[in-house]
Amino acid sequence: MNKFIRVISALGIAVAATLVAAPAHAETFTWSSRPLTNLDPAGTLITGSITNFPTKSGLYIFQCVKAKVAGERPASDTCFDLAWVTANGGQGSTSSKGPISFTLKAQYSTATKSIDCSVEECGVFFRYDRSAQTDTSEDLFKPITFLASTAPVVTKTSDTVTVTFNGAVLIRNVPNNLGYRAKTVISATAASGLPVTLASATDDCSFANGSLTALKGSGTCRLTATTAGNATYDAANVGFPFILVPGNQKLSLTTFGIKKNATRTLPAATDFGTPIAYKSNSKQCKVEANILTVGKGKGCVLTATAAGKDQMWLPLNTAVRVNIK
Amino acid sequence: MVPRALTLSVLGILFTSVTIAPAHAAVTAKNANGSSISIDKSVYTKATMVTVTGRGFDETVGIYLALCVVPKPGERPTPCGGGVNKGGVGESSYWISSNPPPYGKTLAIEYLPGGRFSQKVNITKRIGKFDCTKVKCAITVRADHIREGDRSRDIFIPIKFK
Repeated sequence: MNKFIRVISALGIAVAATLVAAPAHAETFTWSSRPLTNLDPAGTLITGSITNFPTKSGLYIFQCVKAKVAGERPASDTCFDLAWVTANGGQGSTSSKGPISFTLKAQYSTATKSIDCSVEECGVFFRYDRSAQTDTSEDLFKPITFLASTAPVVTKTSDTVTVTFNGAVLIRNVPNNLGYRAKTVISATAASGLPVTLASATDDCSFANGSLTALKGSGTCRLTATTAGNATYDAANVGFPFILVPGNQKLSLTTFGIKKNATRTLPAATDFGTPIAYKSNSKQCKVEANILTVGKGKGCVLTATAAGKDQMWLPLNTAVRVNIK
Repeated sequence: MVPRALTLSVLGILFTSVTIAPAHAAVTAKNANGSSISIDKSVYTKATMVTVTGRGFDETVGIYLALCVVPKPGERPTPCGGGVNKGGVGESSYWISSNPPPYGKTLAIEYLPGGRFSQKVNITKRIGKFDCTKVKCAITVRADHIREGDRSRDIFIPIKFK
């Protein structure tokens, strides 16, 4: 009888242990790719595929730091977007029916953090996209590891990247001023002839179509210029800091002609959307709100003013010349 | 003479206040951070394309603009019109961001200078299985998926169907 009780107890403990060890849920899809271990810390292109893709919603794929508490999702501020996968693709997503590619790097930045996966435990994190983002049933965290950066040294030539900002050559790590929403033209060349990738490394600026745009009028931004390198040249990665300064809002007209005894609607706001107040220097021109009415005479000068915004843009105070014909 | 505006705290939502001028005048909802959205009116009899203008937004923070079912206070607005629409290209859902991730460069709509936008949102009686004549629906702004869970950016303009 005692033996029977011991067997039953042992079975009970085994069943309980199994129940405790079992996850609360398990994803239904399967991710297949090369092993996600011993990756090149400089970047490894992963191409994989998903079978049994969920029908409920699409999936986001992130690179994240492992959650500190088992069973919880990784903190979103440690996650870097890798891909958005939907059943059939479209709207910028990758189709689940084809190959899914992304690059894993040992070091990456999120909106608020710099992550080093050679120090932190990182992984590829799959979860439902925003249409079912509270549903954790398809959450999957696949740990990744990177090779220690002790690979044999191959002597290559250092590449020299030249970046110009509105025609002037930028000097590495020497800051330049950049006004909020100022027009800029950035171009770059590499001595190797390799293509140079330009990007904003900070959220307070954006880089697109050869232009770096400050989205704030204070703080700092960093423009990065990188090359991939090749058998002869090292990859290049240089940074150029910018100090953000308040921008100059503009009025879309400075001088115009108008027939005598006529009326014209003037711009109501600056290019930053600030309301404009007009004041005339003569009785020949009358302005109410942004409606100009002229009488006879040669012309007049209007003073246009608009408020500034702290740490974003400066007040406007400019003259508009009106020629009466 | 502009009629005296009536300011209401709406739906118990912490960060939003809505200013409604009487008789079909513009409706504006403001966030405590200085951003706001406006539409011409908030009562409709049928599905309508409505121009939503936004002002004073932080251009470093991407947002979704959509027609959504109003959530409980502090919860994420969902569901929203436009379905799975990270591209923000539908008429009921837009992704507005000046610094999206690489995959969003050609999908997101940039803010206009000054943190502004103007987009047409399709106001419909139904959002999926939800009937906006029976549940509360609103034109909604919320932080994009880069800052999911950040409820401090939420703005709501409640919509009614007669």
